[in-house]
Amino acid sequence: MAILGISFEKIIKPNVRILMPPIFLVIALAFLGIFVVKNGLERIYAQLNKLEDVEKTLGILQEKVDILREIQGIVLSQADISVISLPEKNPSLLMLTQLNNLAQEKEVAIIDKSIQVAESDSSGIVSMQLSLELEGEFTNILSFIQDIQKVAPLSTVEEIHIEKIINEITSNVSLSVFWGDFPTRIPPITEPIKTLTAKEEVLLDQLGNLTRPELTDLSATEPIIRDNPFR
Amino acid sequence: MPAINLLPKDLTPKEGVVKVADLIKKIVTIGFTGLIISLIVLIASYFYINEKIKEAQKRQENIKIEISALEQTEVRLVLVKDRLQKAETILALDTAKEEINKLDLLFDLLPSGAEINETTVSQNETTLIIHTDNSAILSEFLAKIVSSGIYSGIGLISLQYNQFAGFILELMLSG
Repeated sequence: MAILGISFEKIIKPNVRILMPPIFLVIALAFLGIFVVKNGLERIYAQLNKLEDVEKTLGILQEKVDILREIQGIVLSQADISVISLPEKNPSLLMLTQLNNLAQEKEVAIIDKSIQVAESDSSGIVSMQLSLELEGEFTNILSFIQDIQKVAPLSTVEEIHIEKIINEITSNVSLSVFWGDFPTRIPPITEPIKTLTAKEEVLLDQLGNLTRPELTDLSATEPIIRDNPFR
Repeated sequence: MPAINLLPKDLTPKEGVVKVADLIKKIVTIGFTGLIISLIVLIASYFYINEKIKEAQKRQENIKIEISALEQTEVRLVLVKDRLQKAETILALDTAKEEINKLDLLFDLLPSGAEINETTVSQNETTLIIHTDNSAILSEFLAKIVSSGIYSGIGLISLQYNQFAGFILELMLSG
């Protein structure tokens, strides 16, 4: 091979010429090595990360299913307690029934009752004002008022006024009764499940101790043949 | 017979350089072998991890089916937590509960001969109108109220005396 009449052998010395092929190979090896190792490791790390994510989600799901299986038996009664204490709809009729029962128990007469417009706040809690006019013995009235907060649904006594006129003791009580919409969505399936905290367990016990309204379930009966009253 | 090199000396590489070239060739051979082994290990690892991912995903799908079957339980739990959160907010509201309980304690302190004519209990304070015919009873009641420590603030709104009605004491109680 000759460039401008000068042979290749003469331009490149034999020492360099013999070293050229292995050096090229070293360079090729280096490039190939960097390419293979870099790309390979990147893919492996990506796969490892994916595996870690999948395993993590799997752990969360497994924990979730274990917890759900564990609480399956008790959560229904817990839901009952919490819903009776704080219903979804306006519980005014239920509350009035509870108050009538309580008044009967405490020997207090409810002379008048009025319900005012419901108010709602940003947390989804709705309340209405219930005013009662009572008549009875002072201690009975006081005991009645104290026990109002021991019945379900949840209510709070805002103000009371007790007055003795001649020999009659009358009282005005204003209380708030609460309810709130049910949650409309459950968390995503891959989100860790949140069980009740110790504080919530205590609160649930407290709600469980509230006097529940006596509800009667009417069982379905077979249709019967009635006599014709016009015959 | 000795080897005869007929090539001119300036056309043959030096012996040391030849050795270096040979050494580099050996290193390159080892390097390539190592590279091929690494490549095999990387590919094997990739497929191994891929299999593990597929296996975990399959298990995930099975658990998701189980969770879907237990959805009602989860819904109830979410409902309970929601109700409790709201109940906690309600129970933390400022109400007259404490003041009513204090009034109950106060009623026990009332000496015979004194009676409550009127009382108004709100979130932070109680106003009380007591009636008695005897000033000694009035003093006794006031002494009891102060020593009981039920209220930290006891304010006298008015004290009236009427020949027919007796003493009428109006107090503002708080704290």
